[in-house]
Amino acid sequence: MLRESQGIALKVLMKLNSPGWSQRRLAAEMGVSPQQVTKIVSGKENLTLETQTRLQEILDIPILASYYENKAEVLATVVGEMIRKEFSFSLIRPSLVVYEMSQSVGKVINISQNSFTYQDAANG
Amino acid sequence: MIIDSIFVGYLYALRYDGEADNELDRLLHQWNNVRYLKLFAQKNKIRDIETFVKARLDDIEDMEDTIDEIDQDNKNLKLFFQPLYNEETGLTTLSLQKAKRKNNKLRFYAIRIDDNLFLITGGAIKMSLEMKDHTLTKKELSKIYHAKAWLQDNGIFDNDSFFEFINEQND
Repeated sequence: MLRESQGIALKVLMKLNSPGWSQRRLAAEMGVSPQQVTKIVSGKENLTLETQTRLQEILDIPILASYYENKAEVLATVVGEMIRKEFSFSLIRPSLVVYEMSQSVGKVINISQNSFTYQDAANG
Repeated sequence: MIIDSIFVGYLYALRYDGEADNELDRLLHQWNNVRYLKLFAQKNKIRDIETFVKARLDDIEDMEDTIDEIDQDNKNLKLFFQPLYNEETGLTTLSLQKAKRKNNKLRFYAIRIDDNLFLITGGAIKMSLEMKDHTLTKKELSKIYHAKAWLQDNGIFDNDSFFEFINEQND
């Protein structure tokens, strides 16, 4: 358990190194005291699922498996949309996705949590 | 200054005035603190902070496992500690010792009171080849010499004198 808490603490601390972030801001966004954040980043707290989820959402860092599941869901939507737009397919079957993706080599896909854009690599 | 027992009969640690914990507990607590390790890395101008912190967390896990093994298995601290100065040979009264593990930057410093009786005086993350070349290890060097003088002032030099002192301290 300790190593898991330490791993999360390190991820949080590295994110807090990013411009604009601070322990104070994280405390404010989480609605907890700065002392509570200090405890979290010391890596000795037995973090509740709620705290882990909030850290993941607020800082956009991977803590729980749901982080990757959510990203994968966004990615699947993006790829589906891309193929529909590019090839005017109304029905996407998994076997087609692989083929169609291979045809889209050269496209640059930018994915954020809630949106996506893509463009020709040559023009990017 | 108080002597705390870690493993009764063979491993003890100093608790300095004003400190809530003895040196072993204080250091284990400190080295398990991710925030402390990150600040330490920044202060020491480490380029890859994340890798440094992860490596020290591995180091402390290794140290804790070793200490547990010593307690549970052979209780032979001579396998854990070695003379602080490599040139030291034979039995020296109140020998200065260090505990180190292979590929591990953490160090405990101790004084060997008798054959298998050790007193931890401190510890540090080793950042320089020579102890005198880094503030923290330089301080530890001063602490271990100070502790040795304190033991001598209290007439402690072997098993019997040590336990006589412990009994008086606990009365």
